[in-house]
Amino acid sequence: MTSTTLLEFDGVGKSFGGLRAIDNVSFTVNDGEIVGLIGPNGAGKTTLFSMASGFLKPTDGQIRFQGKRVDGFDPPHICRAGLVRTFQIVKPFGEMTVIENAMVGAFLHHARPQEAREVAARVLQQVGLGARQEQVAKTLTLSGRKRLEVAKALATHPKLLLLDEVMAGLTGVETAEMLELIQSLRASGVSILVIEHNMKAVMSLSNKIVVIQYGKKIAEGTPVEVANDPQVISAYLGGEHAA
Amino acid sequence: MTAQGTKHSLWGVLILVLAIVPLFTGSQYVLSIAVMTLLYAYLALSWNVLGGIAGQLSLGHSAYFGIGAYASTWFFVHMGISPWIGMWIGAALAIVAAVIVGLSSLHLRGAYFALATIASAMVIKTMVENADDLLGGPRGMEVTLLRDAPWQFQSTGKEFYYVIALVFVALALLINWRILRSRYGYYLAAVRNDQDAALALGVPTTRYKLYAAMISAAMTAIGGTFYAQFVLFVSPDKVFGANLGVVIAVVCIIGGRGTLWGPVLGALLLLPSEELARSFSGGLLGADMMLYGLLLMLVIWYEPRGLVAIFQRWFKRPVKQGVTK
Amino acid sequence: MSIYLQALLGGIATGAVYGLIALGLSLQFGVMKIINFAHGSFLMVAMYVTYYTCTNFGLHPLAAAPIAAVVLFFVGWACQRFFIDGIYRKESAREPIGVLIFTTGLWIFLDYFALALLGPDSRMIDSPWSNEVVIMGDLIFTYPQIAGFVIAALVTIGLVAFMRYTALGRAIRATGQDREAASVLGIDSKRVYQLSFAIGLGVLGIAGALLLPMYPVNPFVGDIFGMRAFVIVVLGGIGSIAGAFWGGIIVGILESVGSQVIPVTYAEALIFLLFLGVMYFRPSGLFGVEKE
Repeated sequence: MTSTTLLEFDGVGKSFGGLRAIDNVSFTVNDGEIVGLIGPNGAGKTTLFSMASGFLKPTDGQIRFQGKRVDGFDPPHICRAGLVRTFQIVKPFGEMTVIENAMVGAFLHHARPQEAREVAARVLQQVGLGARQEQVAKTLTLSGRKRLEVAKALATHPKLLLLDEVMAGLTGVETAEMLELIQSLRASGVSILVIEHNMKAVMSLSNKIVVIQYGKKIAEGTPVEVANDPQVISAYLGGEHAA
Repeated sequence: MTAQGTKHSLWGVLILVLAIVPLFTGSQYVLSIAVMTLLYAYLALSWNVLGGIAGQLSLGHSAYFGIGAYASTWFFVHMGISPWIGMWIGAALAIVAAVIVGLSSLHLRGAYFALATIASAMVIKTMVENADDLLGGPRGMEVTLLRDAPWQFQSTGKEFYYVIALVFVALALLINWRILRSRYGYYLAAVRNDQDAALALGVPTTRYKLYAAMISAAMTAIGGTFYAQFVLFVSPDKVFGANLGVVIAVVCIIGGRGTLWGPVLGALLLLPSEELARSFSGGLLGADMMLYGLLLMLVIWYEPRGLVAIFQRWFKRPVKQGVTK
Repeated sequence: MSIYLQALLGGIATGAVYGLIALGLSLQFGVMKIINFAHGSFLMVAMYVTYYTCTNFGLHPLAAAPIAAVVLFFVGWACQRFFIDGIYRKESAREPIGVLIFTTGLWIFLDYFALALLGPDSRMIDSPWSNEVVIMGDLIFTYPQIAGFVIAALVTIGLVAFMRYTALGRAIRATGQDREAASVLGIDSKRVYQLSFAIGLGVLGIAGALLLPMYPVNPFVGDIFGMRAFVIVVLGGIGSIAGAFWGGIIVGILESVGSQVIPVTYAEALIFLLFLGVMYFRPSGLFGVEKE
């Protein structure tokens, strides 16, 4: 069964002055997959996200989405193509209500406010924020903000979602809910690339794991393969499978 | 009719009645203050598009005001073109200026952008001040006195200006209202709240901020023409002054920037107060501006979101400064 | 040729004082990331304090400098403690516009309060000292110019040393770089802010005393120098004390040499254009510590 390649990192590298932040990273995310991107702090995972979504330009290599190059384009262009990111430190539109936040995302493909509102309401239901539509975003709890972050991105009808540590700081129950949400997203046809530190969560979620350390890819494979990879184990200082 | 509908209609009637009152006082003095109040409400509404809805704190809007005032005046005095038409030339020139200023400074963050707008306004003022032959230099230009000539935007009675000012304010309210309810308005609010997050959702932030600057500049320039025709005189100090740029922003901020009625409330509070301060201080120099400064500090201290939020708090409504009112 | 040399050296002298004016601003910017639009007005206050101290107590302007410094120091401390801190903490960390707007109100209020209280007239101190000159060949230097340069340089060096070698100075720099990390180390950010603001204004007090012999004071004198201070801070780099000094010298030179070449009003515009240019091409300034 062949799966179409959705997102492809091809020999991507990034230098900041003399610092080589990313070096020759290549991997793909296929249609219908959830791919986990893990690695120690500072390994460069968010940098990869920033490059894929247009916030940074790779120094070398290419990034392709649905076969077309996206590296070097600006975020709105890439977002319109169906590749959307969330931020590690959530960025809600604080003064706006929850539904207005989601509407900003919805407006990408729905120009009329009434339509955008309907789409936004649906998306909020999906992430479990349906009851909080009229709440001002900055008054949300962390869990609410994380869901809102997903909702905003979801409202743009993405084909591939880049989720950056969307479970960080959540309680056990909240994490389980978020896991459920992500799986339901995949079921609804959205492919996902997640950065996550919560090992248990990311292992149970992903079809495939990519491990980054010091800007280089050190392992790629199924969760089981990666968990047993000696390089990965030493990278995490003696191994760490549970969150 | 729904309860909401009835409430809105009652407010509407009240506003209409209040709006008409000054016309029946038979006092040119009252009308004069009313006209200036409306002018500042209009200018604050114009500023609101860029400074409030888009959240880009411009303190140099005097540049556009002055361009409007000078453009219509020059074309009238030197080429006999009615200020009603010259007004649009001024708006076009202001748009050009806004694009230049915008492209060179809109990428700057909050306070740096504010400083850049002041600097740009001062550069423009200096250029005008030094254009002795063309624009009359520091002495300025007089608008040819025609007494009563409505088609040339002049009248001896102030009722004429009052009605026009009312129309201008109504149009400015309409423009703000349409923007606030539209996709563009939501996008601007997103940019105002978090520009990167807006970018990530596909908002063309730079372009949309520029549009806001252009709309705001054009509207402000038209206000400049109105002023020129009201006082019949333009000079660099009067229409390009740094003070003016700050006052316009202050009026809008005190009222509640980013809201629909905030700019109007700000003007309604500040202009008559300024006049009162002037009369009651026995001509104490600077009393009116002192009041501005004091009120600004008080409002920011007590409720940074301005008068609109204060009223909403008093009437126990949950304060929602989202995109809509 | 010697006209230009004279202008150059004169510009360096006044520029050093400009740098001192900008120093306080750079400190506030760098440590608290706030924009204080009332900075020019505080300079005006410093100059008036110097003026009245000199005329009422017959003091030499330089002797009045410490007095102005102390007065402004406490004014700064009080301002930060009672007003600015309150607003600063109320608002979103990313866009401290509230402080900007508040200080705008303060700027307007102070200027016009001075106008109401003291009238619009410009005042100059009447000290024989300010007219003394030193002649070196073709070049003439007034005592105020020399004193201005020397003292400004000394204060700058002193402050740089303070920031680099004392525990307190390091605490200030640490807070400026990362408030949370600094508090983990036990540094009380509130006190640091109060101190930075107070030092900033104290330095301004000295600058006012140095400026008064060269320039008359009126309620709006702060507007010009305030704007110039912002240009200098941006030019020299936010948060860089040495940068403010060198930035001031550059602006001073530009102003005095520039006004030999083009009309004075254009020279003013030149300074603004310089500001816009720096903001556009090199926002981090010459010695910039902060990334745009």
